[in-house]
This record gives sequence, C-alpha cells and structure tokens, in this order.
Amino acid sequence: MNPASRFARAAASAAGDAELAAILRRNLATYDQAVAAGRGRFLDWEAARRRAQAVKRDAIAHLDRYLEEFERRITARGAVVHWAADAAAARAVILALAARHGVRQVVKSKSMVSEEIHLREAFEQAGIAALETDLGEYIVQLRNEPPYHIVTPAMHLRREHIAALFHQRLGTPASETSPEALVRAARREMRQRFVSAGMGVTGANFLIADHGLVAITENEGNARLCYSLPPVQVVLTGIEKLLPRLDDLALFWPLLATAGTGQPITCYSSLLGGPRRENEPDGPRELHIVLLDNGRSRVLADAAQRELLHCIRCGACLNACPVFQTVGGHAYATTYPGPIGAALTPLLRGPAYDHLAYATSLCGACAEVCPVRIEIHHQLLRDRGHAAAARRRGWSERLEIAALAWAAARPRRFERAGRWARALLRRRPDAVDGTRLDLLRPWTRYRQAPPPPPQAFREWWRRRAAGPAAPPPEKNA
Amino acid sequence: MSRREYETRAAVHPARERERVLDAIRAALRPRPEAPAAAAAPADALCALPAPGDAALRRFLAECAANCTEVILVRSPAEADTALAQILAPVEGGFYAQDAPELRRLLAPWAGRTLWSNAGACDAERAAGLTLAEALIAQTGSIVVSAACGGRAGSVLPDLHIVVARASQLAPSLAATLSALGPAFERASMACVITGPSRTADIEKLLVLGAHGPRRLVLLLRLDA
Amino acid sequence: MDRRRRSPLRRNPRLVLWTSVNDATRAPEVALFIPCFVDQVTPEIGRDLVSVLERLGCRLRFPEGQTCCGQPAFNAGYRSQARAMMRHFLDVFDGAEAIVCPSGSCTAMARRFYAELAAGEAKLEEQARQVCPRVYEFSEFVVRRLGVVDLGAKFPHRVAVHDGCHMLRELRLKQEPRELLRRVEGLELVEIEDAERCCGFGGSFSIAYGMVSEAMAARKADALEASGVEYVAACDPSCLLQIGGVLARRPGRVRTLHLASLLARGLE
Repeated sequence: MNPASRFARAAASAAGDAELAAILRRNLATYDQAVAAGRGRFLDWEAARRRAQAVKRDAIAHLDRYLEEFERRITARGAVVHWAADAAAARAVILALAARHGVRQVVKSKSMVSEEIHLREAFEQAGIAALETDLGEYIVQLRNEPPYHIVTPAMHLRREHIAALFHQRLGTPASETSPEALVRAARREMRQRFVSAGMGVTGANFLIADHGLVAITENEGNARLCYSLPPVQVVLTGIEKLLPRLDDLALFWPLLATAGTGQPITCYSSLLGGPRRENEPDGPRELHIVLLDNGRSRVLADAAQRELLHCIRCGACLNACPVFQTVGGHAYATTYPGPIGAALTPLLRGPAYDHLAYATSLCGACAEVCPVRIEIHHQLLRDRGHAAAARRRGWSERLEIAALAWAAARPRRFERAGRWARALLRRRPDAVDGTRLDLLRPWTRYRQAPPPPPQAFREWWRRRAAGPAAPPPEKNA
Repeated sequence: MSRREYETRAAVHPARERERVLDAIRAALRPRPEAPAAAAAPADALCALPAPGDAALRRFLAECAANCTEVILVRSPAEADTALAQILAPVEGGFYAQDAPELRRLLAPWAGRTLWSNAGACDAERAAGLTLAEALIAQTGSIVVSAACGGRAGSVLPDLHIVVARASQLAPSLAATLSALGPAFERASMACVITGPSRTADIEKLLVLGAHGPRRLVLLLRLDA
Repeated sequence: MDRRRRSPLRRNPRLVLWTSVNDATRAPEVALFIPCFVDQVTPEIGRDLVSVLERLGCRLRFPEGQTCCGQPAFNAGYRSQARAMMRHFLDVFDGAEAIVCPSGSCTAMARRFYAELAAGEAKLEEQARQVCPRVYEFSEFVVRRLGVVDLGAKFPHRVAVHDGCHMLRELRLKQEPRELLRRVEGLELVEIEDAERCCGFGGSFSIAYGMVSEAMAARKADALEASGVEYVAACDPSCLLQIGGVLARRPGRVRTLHLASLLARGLE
C-alpha cells in the first residue's frame, strides 16, 4: 500500500477510536493547562516569539558561517565534527565509529534525527544492541513502535497498557500500575546498561556558534547519563539547529520548555563543550558530532519555505492541531508527525508524502502556537502548490479544478453550469441520501447536505432589480 | 533501508562530505537572504524577573519550592554540619564528592564512605553525590554545575544530589548566568543548568520524580553574613 | 411593500444618532462579493446580507461579472488557475469603494492570499494592492467601517458564535460578530468550549478525509449541545454547512444561522 492510502486508512481508523480520543484528550488537557500557566511567566509572550523568529532567521540566513564557526570552536576543544549529506552517510559515520571502538552496546537518549535516519535499526543490523533510554522512547521501543509524538512518545498509552507491557517484558507484577512503580522498574532495568554501554548517542536541541557548544534539553537525566558514562559519545543532529549566540539560550530554553511542556525551563539544560578534559574524572574520551543535511539544504533553497527550518521541535503544533488530535501520531507514518511534519515531509522525503499537505483543514492553530512563528498552514499551501504544479495530483482533482476554472472564466457560463448542477441535484431522491447511489456521497456519507436552492443569488438579484418592487437608483446619498 | 545502502555510502570521504554539505547550503543561500543579525536577546524583558536585592533570594526560594528542590538555609558552618548530618543520617551506602576544601571539611565525619572526585569517577553504587555550584539562578530556581564540580556523573547518577552553595552566587537571570558561563568551557567540558530533581511525565502526563537522575535534590544554601 | 423605502432611521433612533453625528463615515456604496458557494448553495445568506446592508442605508450593487475568487483552486495548490480567477475578480471589482462579503474565508483569500498569488507580475500586484484592502467581511464592515454595533434587532434566543479559522487567524476578527450579537435585544450570547477550534470543513479536506472531518465536526457539535444553545451563528457559510450537516443527523435541536441571517430575522 502506498503512503497515501496507508495514511487515509490509518487516519479513518483512528478517527473512529473513542478510547484513543479520550486518552489524547486527557493528555492534552493537562498540557494545555501547563502551557497557559507557562506562557503567563513571560512578560510578553508575543514579543518573545518575534524575537525568537528574528534569531532563527539570522541563524538560517547565515547557516554556513555559523556552522563553520561552531565546528572551529568545538573542534578546538577536541571534539570531532562529521558532516553527512544524507541518512546513509550519517549511519556510515556512526557505525564506523562503533566498529572502531568495538562497541556492542549503545545507550541512546531521545533524538528525532536518529529516528529520521533509522539509526537503531542500523545498529541492530550491525549486531549492536541500542537501548532507548528516555522513558517514553523505551516504552515504544519495547512495543516495537515508532514514537507517537516528538516530545511525548508514549502519549497514546494508558498506564494499564504500560503495566501490561512491563509485566510481560520486564516481569514486574501485573497489578503494579502506578506511574511511580513503572518509572522505578524502568530505571532499575536501564541502570546497568548505561554503565556497560560502549557508546552514548544523543541528539542536540541547539548548537551554539559563538562558543562552540551543544545544548541538550531533557527532564529525566538519561541524556546526562548518555553523555557522562560511555567512553564514546555521538551527537547526531540536523544542520538547522544552530543558534548564533550562547546568550540566545536565555530566550530559547524557556521558550522551548514552555511550548513543549509548559515548564519554565526543563529540568536539565546541558551544554557540552567537548570530550572529557584531562583533569576531569569522567566523561567520554571522544565526542563526535554528526551534522546531517538529508534534504534540509533543499528546503533552504526555497526562500518561501526555508522558515520551516526554524522549527525547534517543541511539539506545540501537534498538540494544537485538531487533525493530529483526531488521527494521532502513528497514522502519519513519518518521523515528524502533525502540522510541521505534514509540511516538511513532502519536502524532505518527496512526492510520496504529498498527501500529508492535503490532510489538513488549514485552520492555522499550528501557526498560532508556534514559538518561532512559522506560518505552518501557509507552508502546507505552498507544498500543495508544488504538488499541483508538478502535475502530481490525481486526474479527478485536476478535472474538477479545470472545470471550475473554465466555468469561472465567464459569468454566463458559470451561471448556466450552476443551474444545471442544481437541477441535477434536485432530482436526487431523498432515499439515496448517504448511500452509494448518492452523487453527493463523499459529503453525505458523513453529513447532511442542504437541498439545492431553486435559484442562485445572482438570479434573485436580477429579478429583484427588474421587478416592480425595485427601488429607484439613489444618486444623491 | 538495507545493509547494501549502508555499504555504498561507507566509502564517502569525510572532507568531501563536508564540502558537499557546505556547498549545498551556500548554493541554497544564494542570493544571501536579508536577515540582519538579531541583537542579543534582551531576555531579561522576556521572562519575568525578580527585582534586585532580597527579592532575588525570595524568588529563588519560591521557584525551588515549585520545582521540588529542597533548600536548607544555613547561617554558619555549624548549622551546615548539623543540616548535612540530618540529611545523610538515613542514607545507606557510599558518597561521591567533588574534591573541594569546603566539602572536605563538611564531609569529614563521613570521609571513610566518600569517594573524592580526584580519586575516580562516580559509580552506580554511590547513594549520594555532593558538589558545589557554578552559580544559582533566581529567575528559574536553578543550580548550575559544570564538569569542574567533580565531573559529570556525580550530580546525576546517585539518587540524592546535595549542592553546597552561597547566597552570593545567586544571579538574577538566566541571561546573566549564560553571559558569564561562556568562559567556563575553557576549564570544564560540560555545564548543566539543573532545575529540580530528575522527573518524567511520560506516563499519562503524571509527574514522577527520580526518572533516571536524583530523586532528591538538596541545596545547602549558606546565607552570607 | 418596498422594505427599502422604509428608512432604518425612522425605525431606529440609535441609527439617527450615528448618521447625523458621523457624516464623514456615511454608508458608502457597497459592491457585493457573493462567493460562488453562497451564490449557488446558500443564496438566502446573500439575500439576508442585502436586507441588513440596505437597512443600514448602504447603496448596493452586485457586479454581475463575478464568479469565483479562486480559493478552491488556490487551496488545492493550482496556483495558475487561481491566478486566472483572481485576475477576473480584480477586474470585476476594480474601482469599487467597498467590497463586502458574507464569508470570512473568501475575504481572507482576497486580503491575505492575493498578494502572494500576484507576486512577480507588477501590474497584477498593483491591482491587488488597490482592490484587496477594500474587501471587507460582513461583520467587520458593519462594525469597523460603518461604526454600527446596534442595529435594533430582536432575537430572543441563546446563541453561540463559532469562529471560522480564516476569519479568526487570517483576518484577526473575533470581536466583531460578538459586538453585533451583544446588542441584539433578547439575545443571550453563550461562549462554547473551544469556540476557536476548527469545525473540520477545510474545503476538499472534508471530502478527501471525510471521517476525520466528521470527527472534528462532531466535537464542535458536542460542545454546542453541551452549552444548551438554540443557535450557532458564524460568518462563514462553509463552516455552517459542515456544522449544520452534522447537527442535522443528531437528535439535538441546535440550528445554524449566518450572522447576516440572524440579524435580518431580528430586524423583521
């Protein structure tokens, strides 16, 4: 099945799942409340968003220079920077490192870029065990699922689901369903793996150009363990994560935390300047940073769409999106779900994902909550523009638009076409309403359709103007 | 994704890959878009800040209460000793501590149970980690540590993290702290702004403390005379 | 009897105050922009628009050359076809003093999206710059341009407002319909839960992803039913079609009404 039909089927199935809807709704109600309180901590949330947008615009407009500055500074402290034009190159770099160090076990902290390049599968193919250590990621890894959400990977599960999973996979008591007990069990299970891992892999939330730093944001402490304990650390990240200055974090850390979870700042906001220094008791002997392009420079090349690279992956647009809330994260079957994913994926992964740009009502709730003010819904429209211009849309849609354009070119034609269509629909017997025989079935299958009116507005207007009741033209007002 | 795909790309030369990515970026940015370097963020105006003076400490304490950091105010070395004794009394197992004169003095009664950072790295058996702080942030109720505070793991691996700091280390804002933090990377490879004990809300958005890091974060805050 | 001859001034003293004091903002000549959808599917909304604007003393004309603003093509990505329709629209409405539309969505097409669509063609850009700022959504026109909030209408019912997405987020109009409804005698304005949430219409989206679209509308319908209102008013016929389409298959008795229709009924 192609991605478009798979999406349509999964979306429809999720839309009819009342239990899922209840889980998501409860989860998001908690989120909404926290975020409302979090925004209140800003003196001026809108000013903060505008500032953030300006900073990202600067960062992206001079991306080459900032990347080189970042590379120069962090390399001076002993880190190694690798560049990868695509996913395969990034995997090759990381697997070569693992091979060189004889790594058998890897601990990973949350990284959407690692999902993007299917790093865990690559490790597994190479016979290396890779453990997701973020609790949500750990849960979905045990379930053999991709993350449901870029910030809340196990958003679709209730504690009972997780308890059953842990009972089956970790041997915890089946009755143990309290979040505290489940967290404790996962922590216990993963502890030793941190200690014995030969490599730690993390993502990066920001790269800081002026001081050459990697900024990692988290709450659990698993990323800190990943960059503290294993002898080799790999930071895998996209080239767009640059911020010009360390000072910018004074805005971006609170902004990301507030939009992501409603927290004033996440529990652990780490900055890495290089591998362990001589006088330090621990930390990795080697720090490797993999900068991934994988289609991003293509997005950069389109001046109207490059703002999509401003995204800081906070997940706010997913949470605000009524379509995401209805279809959930898995239906998209992409690394980045929700509005930002729908806008980016056709650009990053090509026409097979065009349908995602159409799978939205364009309501704009995403843009309204975006902390860096990306006009995501307008970007979705631009994606659609590319798809249609390249004649990648289906024949029926092309025919419909051509018919509309043909009719709309001449008012008389338009009026006549409308009259015929209404006459045809008036003959539609009530009995077919919503059935397969119904011409309007795509609409009436789910909703009632209004009866077609006997006359169009323009016909009414003309008759009224011509009729006896027509008022004289007022020239004097 | 296939193994074959991996093998075909494994031959890529690092220097060539670098030029390939950078060239693609440069080409994409031609003509260079107009985006004036945004002035350094006046972040003090963006997130609510405490007023100067005493208010900073009050704000810090309020933020700590909100983020579950336990703060113990001490006014003398003797008070610090007493407070530490109370915290450590129920703790079983060994401690890990940053090798610093102040901590050497405080931990003298437990010297036999303590691994000092100059002697080795913190291991998973340590029940408590004791460090100093690089700075404290009033705006967010945060404690800044760096690798110079006894390495990396000592402040995250044990179940209990105890920080010993002075009220004079209190900075008003995150912005002020970051401006001062840049040079720190010339002597330490890592810094972390810690805001409360480790936590997760990955299960039904319910807050649970002690996900992977410390379940308890205690700050012994010495008020300056 | 000719309704237009009966001056609204005689009927409603509050309007007298407005016209006499504020002569500079006298009701202008209005070119009606009746979206293709209203023209063909819900012409009664157009008729109610006419009746309300005439009550306000506006001189109306209906440029008969108008067809479709091009939004369906634009939203589906067919920009060259949309551009042709835009060209037609701009020619038809060229020189109009004020263009009033009973749809936030179609107003947004002209005001927010024409500029991008015209980009690269200097003459077209200039024409769009001239015409587009003169396109008003109905409630915006009445409240902001005419400066009228009290029409002297009476409608003794509990009414909720649904915010259309284009109206809310492209045009930033939220208070205008509420200001008008608050002055309607006997009307109890009710704010429903998630009034700003999309009803799930989204043009072709409602067809291509019918089940998702319906689930979104169902949530809207739930909120409406829970609020105990009798009517939901909106400034977008397409939202009303969607919400009404779902409500019609439910046992509840919430009815949909365009703001112009509600006011027209209230003035009868």
